[in-house]
Amino acid sequence: MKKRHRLVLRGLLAQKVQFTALAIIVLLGTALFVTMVTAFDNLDDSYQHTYAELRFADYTVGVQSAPQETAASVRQLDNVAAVEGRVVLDTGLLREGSHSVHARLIGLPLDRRPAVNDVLVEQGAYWTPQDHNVVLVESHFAKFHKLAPGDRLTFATPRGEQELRILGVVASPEYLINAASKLDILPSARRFGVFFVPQPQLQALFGLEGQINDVAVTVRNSGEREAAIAATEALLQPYVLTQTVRQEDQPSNAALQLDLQGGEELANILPTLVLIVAALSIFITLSRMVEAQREQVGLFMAMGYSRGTVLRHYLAYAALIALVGSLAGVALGLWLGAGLTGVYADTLGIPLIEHEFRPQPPITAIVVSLVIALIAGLVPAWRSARMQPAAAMRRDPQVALVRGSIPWVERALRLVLTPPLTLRIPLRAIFRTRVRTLYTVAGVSFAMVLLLTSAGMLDTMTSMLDRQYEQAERWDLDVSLRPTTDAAVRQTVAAWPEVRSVEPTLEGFGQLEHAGQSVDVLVMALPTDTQLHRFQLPGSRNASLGDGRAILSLYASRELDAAAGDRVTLTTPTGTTTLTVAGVTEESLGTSGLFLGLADAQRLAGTEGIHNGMLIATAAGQAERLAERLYDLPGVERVNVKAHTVEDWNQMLRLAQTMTLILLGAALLMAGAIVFNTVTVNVLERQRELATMRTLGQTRGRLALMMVLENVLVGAGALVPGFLLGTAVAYYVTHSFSSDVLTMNLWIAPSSYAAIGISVLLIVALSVLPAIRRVNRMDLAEVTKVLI
Amino acid sequence: MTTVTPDAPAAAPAAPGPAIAARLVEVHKRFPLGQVEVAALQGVSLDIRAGEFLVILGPSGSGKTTLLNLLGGLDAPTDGKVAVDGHDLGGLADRELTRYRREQVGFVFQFFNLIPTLTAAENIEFALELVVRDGQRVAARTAELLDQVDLAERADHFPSRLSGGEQQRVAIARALAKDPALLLCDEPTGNLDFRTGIRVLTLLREVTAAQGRSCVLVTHNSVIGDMADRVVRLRDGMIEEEIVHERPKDPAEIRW
Repeated sequence: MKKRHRLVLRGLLAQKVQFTALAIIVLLGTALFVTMVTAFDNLDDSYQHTYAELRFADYTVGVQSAPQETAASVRQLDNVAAVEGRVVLDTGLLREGSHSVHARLIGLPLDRRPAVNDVLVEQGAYWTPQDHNVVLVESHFAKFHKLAPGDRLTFATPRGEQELRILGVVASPEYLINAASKLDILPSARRFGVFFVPQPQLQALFGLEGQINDVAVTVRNSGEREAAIAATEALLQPYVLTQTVRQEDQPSNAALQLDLQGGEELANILPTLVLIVAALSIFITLSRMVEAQREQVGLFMAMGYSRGTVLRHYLAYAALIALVGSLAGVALGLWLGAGLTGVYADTLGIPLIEHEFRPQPPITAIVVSLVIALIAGLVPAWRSARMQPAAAMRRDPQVALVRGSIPWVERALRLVLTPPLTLRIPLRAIFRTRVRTLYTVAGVSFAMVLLLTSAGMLDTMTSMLDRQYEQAERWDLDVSLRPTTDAAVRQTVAAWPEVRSVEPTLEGFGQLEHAGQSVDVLVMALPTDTQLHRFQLPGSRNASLGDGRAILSLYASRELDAAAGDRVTLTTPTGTTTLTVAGVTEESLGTSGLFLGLADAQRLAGTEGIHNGMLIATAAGQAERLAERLYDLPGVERVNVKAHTVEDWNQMLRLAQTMTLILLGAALLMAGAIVFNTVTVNVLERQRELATMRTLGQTRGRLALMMVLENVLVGAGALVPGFLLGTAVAYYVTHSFSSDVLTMNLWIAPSSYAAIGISVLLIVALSVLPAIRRVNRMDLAEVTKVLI
Repeated sequence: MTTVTPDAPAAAPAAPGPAIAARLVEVHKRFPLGQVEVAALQGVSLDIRAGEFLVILGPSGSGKTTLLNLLGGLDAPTDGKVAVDGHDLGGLADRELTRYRREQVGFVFQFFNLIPTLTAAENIEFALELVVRDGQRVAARTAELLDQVDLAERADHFPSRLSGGEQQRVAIARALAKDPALLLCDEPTGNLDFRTGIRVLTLLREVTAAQGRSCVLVTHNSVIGDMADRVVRLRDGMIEEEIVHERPKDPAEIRW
């Protein structure tokens, strides 16, 4: 081993605590990166594998009704690999006397497995031609309602109620996320289930013998898919096209892509943040280490070591930190990544899990760590290599730390304040060693960034639900009615003693345009004096609906670049109208939306007095019972219970919350490592000064108190920049997760700020103690004699 | 000049004359060094008289700094007794030793060891405030000391803006702040050029002679011995030679 290498190793051993702390920072950054990237790569592989195995359709074309043989004609088209002609119907599922579930029935071949959109049997078996009155249940629904093969379900059909026996539980590539439609922002098996029935039986039940209404197609060459779609549409044109859905727009696939995109962003942003913090910490520590080792550097150079050797020495130290940290981090990350894939796949319902080792994430993690550490180490290493040997050995690094004269702040304070010596000495050290103070403030602030980001994400998720369901949505039940429903139904409901108030609503879809931009929106019409939906209008509190005024959701306003006062054009199947934006409501959850006055919407629909929904506020604890009663009324299609929706959201967010909690734990560990490092350097680089104080007669206790005070005061000084920087980063991170269904408005609870502030100060105080113990054990005679 | 060998009674305690400021009796100090034990001092007995300027000379490893550390309460003897102002330092607990250093002994180091974050005046105040609570008295005494070391105009300068000689003069002022009976100087000129070194030595001589305190100065530089009332030469942890100067030289007269 070369002497220089031995020196690096010895330097490392001499500062093993600091080295370990820095390596832990790198470890956490790389582990986080590798865990997340591996998990998302695995997920990507898993769903691609599932799609391939189950022959997921490249597109589907819906028609009103077409002869079953049409599918064979589509099969003859150019580039078409396989076709399945199906019946897809939405109906009500009767369970225990209630209509509370929206059921989608899909016909699959009786005598063979489907050529497109096959199912994976997870429990039970696929049917045989001898099976009658059987059904395969999609696994999300089966899991939620604890259904198993052998159980029976009753469906509403035009021929009356039909009981079917569950033959198996299956996964479908179309319902990896069981979204009923693209606008179903909160897919929940509580309200929606998919059921597969032998096609001839389904056709018979719904009077559609020999007919299909959906053609699912896979193509040979995806590059020429559009031509195949056009040919299919042309072929099916006579049967009245309803909708063509391309794979990327397919609701489950789109939602899955959105989830994975969000996850990938998380997998990139957070480790990047951690590695930046690691780089800054390495920079700070190395800078101070080089400064403290000036004499040694001077000595090496005096002995004939070249500047290049000195430069390489410190760079080697930085590289070693990165290498040790990143290798351990990669190992940990690969292990955690495999575990996380399982958790995610289970939560998302991806049935076929693929674990493929990809060398790229570990290599990226190691290379990035190395590059960052080398960049962080380069400046201090360069500075050390440029020292003049004699000057380096002669100069007392500690004396050189304080330059200039007494800071003016201190002079001013001195006129009014003379604190006791125990406080005065720390205060002077803070004001006068500005570089050290700034380094400490920076270290503590960086640690706080990580804590605030994770706490901010956690708080934002909680506040999102609170803002939406406690402040905006004041109803307990949201009812969808068939458009033809008699207005008397609303009056009946209003007369129920458990009902506090009822408001009619009219919902539909449209396209909104402004300044050349357009966006699909869910149009929600409410009474102008609605009490059951409170808009969140921080910028325009007096905004109101009616007389052509509309309120936009935050997402729609951003997409259209439209603000209060702008004119937007709404196009619906019944016509086009121009509206004035009265305000932008900052609701957290919900799709791209537009709120209108009920009368305006009715005018646009050309149906005065009609509504297709109701919002109901009930007496406390009555919502669920009333929901069941509502289904007994004519025209009621669907009833949403707010409590259930909140529970579903909580369920959906649980995984993210768990992940964020883990992140918070890692952040706390990192914050501890960074603060410990900073504070330890703070104390140890002043051994001679402290030893001198002890020699002059300062007691151990008072000296310890002064050191704790000094570092805690600097820590307290770092709280403000830390809070500001942390909040800014948390804002950026949370906003990067906003999507068309989720508006993440950063919220950090005051209690979180307080908890983080107190934790940081506590970590600072505790970090001083080991250093003080070391100072207390030092040989005063020895330390006061040497330049350290 | 009188030269006394170690066997002669002059090195023994209780010699007649001025009061004894500090006394070492049969002091041994051994340090573990890896697997072996190194004897830094081997049965040293020495009296330091009140008002005496004592220079301890000797090559590296002779035990001179160890001796100074024992006198300063920074270290304890393995055997023997170290007494200052009649009190045995060996019997003192850490807290009492701290108190002893705070009140009775002043240190001057080779590398000055000023607190880098404190100005010249504040460095002196720091030592003073450990023993004097009255702020006005602290300020007055600090000004007086700065004046004494001829640095009144540099009071508000940080150590980084003081020359080596100035830093050492501040260190001397700081050591004198508590008006100690014993001044311990470890190579005080070791890091200074000749001219500055002479100035520091003159100052040390003045504050010893004028105020009747004892000064023990440890150095490699044998020429400095010429200004001492007495020179003790150590070798291998033992007193090799002791020289009493009836007419010590003025520091301005010595050259190296």
